This record gives sequence, C-alpha cells and structure tokens, in this order.
Amino acid sequence: MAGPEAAAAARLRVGDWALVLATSPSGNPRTPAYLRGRVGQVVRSHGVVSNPLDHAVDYPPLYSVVFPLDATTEVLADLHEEWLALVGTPGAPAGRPVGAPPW
Amino acid sequence: MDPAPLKPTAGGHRHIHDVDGHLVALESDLEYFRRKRLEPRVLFCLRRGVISFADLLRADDPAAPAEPWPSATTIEAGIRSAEDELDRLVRGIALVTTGMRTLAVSIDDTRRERGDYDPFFRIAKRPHGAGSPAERLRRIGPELADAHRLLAAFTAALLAAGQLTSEELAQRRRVLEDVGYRNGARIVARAWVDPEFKHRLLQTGRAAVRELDIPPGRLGLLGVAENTDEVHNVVVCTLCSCYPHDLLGNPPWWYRSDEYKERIVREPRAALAEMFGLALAREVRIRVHDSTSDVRWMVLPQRPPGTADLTEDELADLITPESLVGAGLPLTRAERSGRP
Repeated sequence: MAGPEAAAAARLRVGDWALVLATSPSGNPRTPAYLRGRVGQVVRSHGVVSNPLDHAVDYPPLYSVVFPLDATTEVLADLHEEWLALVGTPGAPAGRPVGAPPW
Repeated sequence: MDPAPLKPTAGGHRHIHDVDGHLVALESDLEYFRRKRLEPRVLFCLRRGVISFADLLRADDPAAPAEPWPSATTIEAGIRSAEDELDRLVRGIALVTTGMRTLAVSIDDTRRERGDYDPFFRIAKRPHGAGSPAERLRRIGPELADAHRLLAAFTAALLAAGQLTSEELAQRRRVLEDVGYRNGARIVARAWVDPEFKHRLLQTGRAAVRELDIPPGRLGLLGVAENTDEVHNVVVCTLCSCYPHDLLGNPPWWYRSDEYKERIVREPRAALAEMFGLALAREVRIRVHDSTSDVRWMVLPQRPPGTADLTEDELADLITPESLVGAGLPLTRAERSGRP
C-alpha cells in the first residue's frame, strides 16, 4: 500500500498506544529491531512522507512514537503505520506494561 | 572496545591536543566512506550494467597521483593533510553518486547494496587503530590514496559512459562546498533571537530554513527537537546513519559508530556522561530520537546564559557539531573566547 491510498487509511491518532509488530507485511525494513514487540505512544502524526531520494515508492503514514526506557529517559522513533497495531486510546490505555524494555 | 573517548575533537584550526582522537576519527571516517559510500555505489553501477569492471580498468590512471601527499614533518601536519584529503574524498564521492543520466539512485538502494538490513550481506568493517601514531598515519596515507584512485576511475568511467558531464560535476561541487554544520549553527542562532522563526522552524522544518537562504534540501522531513529545562534531546540512527546531511553536512564520525548507536538507546544518561562528558541533571528528561530517514532530526540546543548581548553571528559561533545532535551543549562565552 502506498501513496494516496495509504494516506486515506491513516488510522492512528496522537495519544494512541501502539504495538510494534514483529515483521512488516510489505517488507519495508525501516523499523529498528529492538523496538519490535514493544508498546509506545503516538506523539505526532506526519502523514505520508514523500521522499523519493530515499525510497522510490511512498511508504504508509508515519508517526513519531515514544517508548519509555526508565522513569527519566525515552526513545522516540518514527515508524510507518504498517508496523503498528492499535492497542489503546488516550482514554483507554494499553492493557499491558508499556514499553517494557526487552534488555 | 575502543579505548579512545568519543569526546569531540572537531574545531578546525585549533592546535591538535588529542592526537589519538584525530587518528580514530580519520580511521573511522575513511573506513566508513570507502566501504559504505564509495564501494557500494561502484557495485550498484556494476550490477546494473551502467559501467563494467573493464570500464573501471580502462578509466584507471595509475600514473596520476591522487594529490601530492605532502611529506609531513610532524604528526600534527600529517594529520591535517590526511584530514584535508579525506574531506576531498568525501566531497568527491558525493559528487559522482547523485544525478546520473539513466539511473536514479535512491539512498535506500545504497543501504540495501551495502547490506544494512541483513547481517549476511552487511559489508564488514576492517579493524584499525593498532600501532604508534606515526605508524597509523603511515597506513592511512596510502589507503587514502587508493580510495582516491578508485574514486577517480569511477568518476572517469561514469563520464565516459555519458552518465555525468564535467559541467554538472563542477556545478555540484560549488553547491556542496556550502553544506556543513555551519548551516545548523545559523539556524539555531536565528531561532534564539527570533521566536517567530523558531515557531516556524519547529512546525515546518525545512521550509523555514529558506528564510536564511539555506537550500532546504529534499531528504524527507526535517525534525527539530527543542531542548528545554525539562527535556534534553539526542539524535541517533541505529539502522544506518540517517542525518539531515543535505542541510548540515556529514555528522561527526562517532555518530556512525556502533558503540554510540548501541549505548545511546539503551542507557542514554550514562552514554552521554561517559562518552561525551555530558552529565545532565537527574530531573532533566532525556529523549533519544532514533531517525528513520523520513524524518531527519536536528537538536535545537538551549541558548547559554550570559549571551544576551551577543549578535546572531556571535551566537552561531557557539554551536558545535555535537550540540546539533545533543551529544554536547553549545560553547559558553568563556569557552568560545578561549578558542582562536
């Protein structure tokens, strides 16, 4: 899925909690391995980023997602929607530990 | 692990205090640029039939020295000329690998070519760093010359194949000369003195830098992460080395080091303190931005105290390459005046 179709399908909103999937269906590789299987909160929605110098085809909508490391540190990663599953909304947070570090 | 601290050694014309730091930077950058930028792009063109191995051989001119390698009398002079040669190599690589006639190369193609996403195909790094400073420098010289020779043959083969023209090369060379971290310094200084510009910068990224007559570049979005009393931002790219390099030039050499990439997303507070001597107060939250190429991040550092009367140009002089990725703070006024 790419381009306008993907834009139309943007389904996460700022404040949502999202689970990073283990693999992406389309094979877009740009999600760091250490974040897979973790839950983070969407803090910014970028829409579909057209970036032809970087990749010839558009990827699905992009979100900045924050993953806590400990009480005072966190990682923010920019992840494409195909990698993310909605697991909680701002009013109903995720029903599992958020961002529990895998290391 | 490398014993040399990653403490910044950049600074252009200062006296070289940290010989080891300069040598580590030289070795790492040379290895990175030839193995990860030059050679994968040669492979890219060979695989797609743009040029052949025979074309490369025909274009090779063993008689032409890359550039006369000055007979350095001191380690310091040797390091400086090696650094200049490396800069020339890096610019030369950037010149020939964009805008070919029949083949559009997107950055992701190069990442795949060098195996960034698959450990099996990943191009190995060669070990370095053994020996005395003089021995290390003697090794770097011929390796740099070899890399220049490959680049020269590659460039000549692309010219011969009609993929580039020398006019285009000259034009691109002029553009590249203006790209560097100094652009970032100007952006930060303007944001410090002009809150409305800062607002536009945070909201629109690349579009705002046009106001400074800086070409905004086209590599995805520019993310600007603003440091405050509560939050300190740091930038990394754990997958490759994404950076707004079309706008700010190449990042500091350690930005591409595995040690930095691994530690900064695991224990940022300790990594900043131990690798860069940047000890942040416990109550300051640290946010590490792991770039994913569609948003390339720079840090907007806090304006140092006691700088209310400085001009915009003087403020820009306080910015270091490290402060633009959050691995350091801008210089204080006293630190700045201690530098030539």
